[in-house]
Amino acid sequence: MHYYSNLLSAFQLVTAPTNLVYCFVGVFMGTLIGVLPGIGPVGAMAILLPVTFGISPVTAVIMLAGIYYGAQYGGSTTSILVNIPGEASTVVTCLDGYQMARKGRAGPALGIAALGSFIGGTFSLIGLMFLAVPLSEVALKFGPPEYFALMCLGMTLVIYLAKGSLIKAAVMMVFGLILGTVGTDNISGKLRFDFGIEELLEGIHLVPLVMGLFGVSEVLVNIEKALGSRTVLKTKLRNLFPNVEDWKKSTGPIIRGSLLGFFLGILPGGGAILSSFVSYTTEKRISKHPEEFGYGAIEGVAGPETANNAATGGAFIPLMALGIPPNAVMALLFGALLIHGIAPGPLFIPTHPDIFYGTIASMYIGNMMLLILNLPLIGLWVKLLRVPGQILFPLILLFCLIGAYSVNNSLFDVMVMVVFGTVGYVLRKYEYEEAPLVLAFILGPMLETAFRQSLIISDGQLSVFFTRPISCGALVISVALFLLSGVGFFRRVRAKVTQIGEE
Amino acid sequence: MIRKLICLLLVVGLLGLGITEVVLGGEKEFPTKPIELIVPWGAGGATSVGARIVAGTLAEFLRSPVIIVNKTGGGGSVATSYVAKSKPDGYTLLVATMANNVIIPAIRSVDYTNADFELLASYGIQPHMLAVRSDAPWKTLQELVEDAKKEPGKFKFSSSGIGTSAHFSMECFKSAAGGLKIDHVPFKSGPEALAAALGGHVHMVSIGLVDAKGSVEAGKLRVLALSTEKRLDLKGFGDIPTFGELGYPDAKVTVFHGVCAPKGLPKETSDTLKDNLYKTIKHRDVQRTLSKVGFYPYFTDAEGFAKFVSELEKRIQRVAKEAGIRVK
Repeated sequence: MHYYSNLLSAFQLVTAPTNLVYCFVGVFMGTLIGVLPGIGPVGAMAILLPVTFGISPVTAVIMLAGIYYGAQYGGSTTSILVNIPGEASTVVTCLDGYQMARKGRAGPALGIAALGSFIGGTFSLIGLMFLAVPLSEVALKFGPPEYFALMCLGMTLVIYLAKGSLIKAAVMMVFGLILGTVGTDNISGKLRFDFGIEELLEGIHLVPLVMGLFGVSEVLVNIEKALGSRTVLKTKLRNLFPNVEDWKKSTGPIIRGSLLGFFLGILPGGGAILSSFVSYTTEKRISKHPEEFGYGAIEGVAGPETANNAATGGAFIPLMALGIPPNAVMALLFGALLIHGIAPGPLFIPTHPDIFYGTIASMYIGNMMLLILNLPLIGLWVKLLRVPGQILFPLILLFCLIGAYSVNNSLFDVMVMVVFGTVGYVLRKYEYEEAPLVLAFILGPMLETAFRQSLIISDGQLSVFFTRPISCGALVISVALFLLSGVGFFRRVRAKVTQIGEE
Repeated sequence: MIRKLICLLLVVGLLGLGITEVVLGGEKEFPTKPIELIVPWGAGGATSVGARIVAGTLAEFLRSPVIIVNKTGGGGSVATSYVAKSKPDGYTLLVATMANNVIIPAIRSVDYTNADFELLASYGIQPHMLAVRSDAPWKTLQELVEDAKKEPGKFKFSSSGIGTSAHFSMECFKSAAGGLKIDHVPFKSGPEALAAALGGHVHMVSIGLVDAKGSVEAGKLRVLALSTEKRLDLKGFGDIPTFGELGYPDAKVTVFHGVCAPKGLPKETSDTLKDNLYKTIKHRDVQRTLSKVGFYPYFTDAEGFAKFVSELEKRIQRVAKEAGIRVK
């Protein structure tokens, strides 16, 4: 019962004009930085943090949180329109979203992304409200062995990311793993593949890598295709919103995406990114027509876009219930609360229910604002596609260059983006896909670190992975998935061989 | 001909302007242009937030803008090396911390040492501590030391990563306690290290005040000892002893934040900067805001700052060698 009375007073608090204004400023800024490639919510929140010194803690959190989930809405726009992930968590949206746009279905893609985000966001809020405390206890149960097992499970998903050759996907996965080892080894402190370049000490940054592989290489491919005047899309733009058929296809992915996103968001370390990948691969795995994925399947947009927004709600749980920020964005919110003399910890929700419920209430309202803000924008975004290529492509490149620089004020990051733009271009020429590379690049270092942490804890005993129920369970599932896909692969190869033999 | 004359006049005129500018510039007092305070890490971190607070008030006292520049890379070494090589004119300053000024040169080959800098003033410390889960068997540090001596290598501690202040705080304690064998499980951030301890995956955690505060207040985490010089004047921390009190004075690690400049500042510039920095740091509002964002106000003047840093530097170098912490 206290949920409702708390929430009711929280809604009264949030609908105060100041809070509504700050909420709107937050989600609007979030959408904006989400659309711009490069600069992400962390950068924007850090810049706006001093603004919050003078306002009340609830208002501060309302605005900063708005930037965070607003960016998840905005990030999908450029993924769908021009194949440039606005945020790392919208990488997979490029795969089918951009293909939809090429077929003249940019409108439904953007529409389902916005609506899916709304549903996922709202769902995770309900979860946050009722399950924050019990789930935070579960999050603590995840030690290094559990993370290792979870990452193994994530790795088996790489197989489902491939739309073409499985061998090529495996090659890209290994390439991603190798790239992930660059920099200082987290456990021993040894430097690996740094070639004496100081900037590589922290490893290759994800944002410029992703922008290069997807965005710059896309621009290069398009320039090559038609140097003359040409709009990005020749196809006529059909309806602007998802039709009944689209909805039928998207319902399942949205429900599953909400659940996946919420639960993966709770775990520290890139929950939003991981959940979007997991959602995509799950949808492809259980789809009756997996061959459509990668060629404009709306499920491939609906699932991940729902998941990355649902993850934002989940990510609040460890911060608010334990005082443990699971990612950089939450660490900034932590900082914002500290400035107001509030140290988030296990006592935070009981002692500051106004802030906890106020944030939740503001997110309900913020999600609605985002929907109202984003749906009319679809028409505008789609018109952007009519801009001739010779104007649009240089502009995209310019925004990418500014974006890559702005994250860390680092020229090195710009070079990383350019190098991976070229690499991505060559890979495309030979039909190697970038997505498995990115997933392996993200998961590889986490997998390795968790593995070695586990072994330090267990004094080198490998049994640690099997004596703990969560890690054992996850490992068994990954082996099963791996074998299943192996059988499928074997069957296909055998069928091909017999076919050739018969001919 | 006329054209040539005009050209000549223009050239002479411009030269004249240039000369007056130089002369006038020489007479003007420091600062005549904005000062850059370089933060060697990203805009979101505690270091950056703290520096921004100091810069805001410093700018008011100096009546000149003080701009924060976040320059990342190399875990802090890129910006530190950049400032070490900058012109010592007082317009390029650096946030000096235990990490970039002391630890990095001790464990990595970089092209600077702490001796390349003139330390101007320290403004705060981040107290570190050794803590266990509240249901752990140890009530005091002494009990932990006894058990660790009985079973070397059995116990593990988590920290925010290899070569961090939290890691070194623990290594200094292990060395001061006669070479305890407690294995290190490095994580990537303080909160992750804390979660590992709260979840019971490691036996203890070496952690900073900001990350630990909430859990300590809630009684989920028991602090065995503080690495600070004195006890902390904070709710829930008053009864917690320091390593020094418990007989391990060499485990004292002052995780400092301050301001430094490349060595060789002109005397007047250095004095102006120091005077205004002292005024800034002693200012009540600055101290209050700093303590809100997780710093424990700790003002030392240039002399005191240089003294405690050089003592700390020697100890860190020794412990790094003993424990074999080396990044290459």
